[in-house]
Amino acid sequence: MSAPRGAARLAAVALVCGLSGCLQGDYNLGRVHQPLAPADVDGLRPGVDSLSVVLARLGAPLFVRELGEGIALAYGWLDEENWNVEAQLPLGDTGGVQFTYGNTDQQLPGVVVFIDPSLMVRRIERGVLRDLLPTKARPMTLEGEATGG
Amino acid sequence: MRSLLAAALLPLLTGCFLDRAALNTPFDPAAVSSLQPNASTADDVTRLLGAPVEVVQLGRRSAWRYEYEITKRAGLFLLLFGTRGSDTQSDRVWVFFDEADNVTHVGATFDASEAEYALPGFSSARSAGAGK
Repeated sequence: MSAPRGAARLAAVALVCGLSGCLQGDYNLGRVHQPLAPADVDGLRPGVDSLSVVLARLGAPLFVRELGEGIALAYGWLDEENWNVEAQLPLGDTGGVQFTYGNTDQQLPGVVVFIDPSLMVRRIERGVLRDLLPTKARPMTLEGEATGG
Repeated sequence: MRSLLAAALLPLLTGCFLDRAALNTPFDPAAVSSLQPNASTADDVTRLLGAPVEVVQLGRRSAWRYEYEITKRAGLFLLLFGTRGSDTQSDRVWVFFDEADNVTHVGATFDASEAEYALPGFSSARSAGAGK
């Protein structure tokens, strides 16, 4: 078999596989929200800057959570590209990598700014928001308020 | 002749799509900037922005979230290869109140207009903190 004929057959096989859905490549881009400028985050000074400074410098957070008597402000974003090649036999089931975005903001990487009860920056942490954010603490009883039974 | 026929058929074997989805209704940046800490009240906020999408209790304080989100998706499918892009951006405002429902702080980000129909390799580079 000559080289051109072999290449033609290989192309024909690839074409048939592609048309039947058994071979497929994907290249995907996923973006969620805008990243913070590192200088804006690094410039925050725990014990010095207030909630007003954080909001002015970083804008509105994705999440605000109660943390004891303090507050946690979470900023997250995603900007990634991924590729996937999927081969599938007609009789088998295979899964592929797929980018989806729904109500998944807590899985985003980002920054959490912890604010103390006097509304000053206590500390700043980076990582996956789900790991950094406090677990839900509500419902709680406020002092002087009766919840009844 | 065969090459011409193949070239004519090839575009018929591909597909593409553009999709745009919005969550909530847009709000006016001018209304947000008119909110004054230590002067505006919860009544002023609801009159200007309507009902919030989230209310968070923070001890005796509280915070309200307003958000308008845009997602744009684009896709291109060839014979053996597909490429897709999804870009989600939002206009977002958090208004903080004291226990007397007076506005104490306002944080706003306007990025919804930054959402674009992006495909890998064809999209522009991201700039940090674009819509702050």
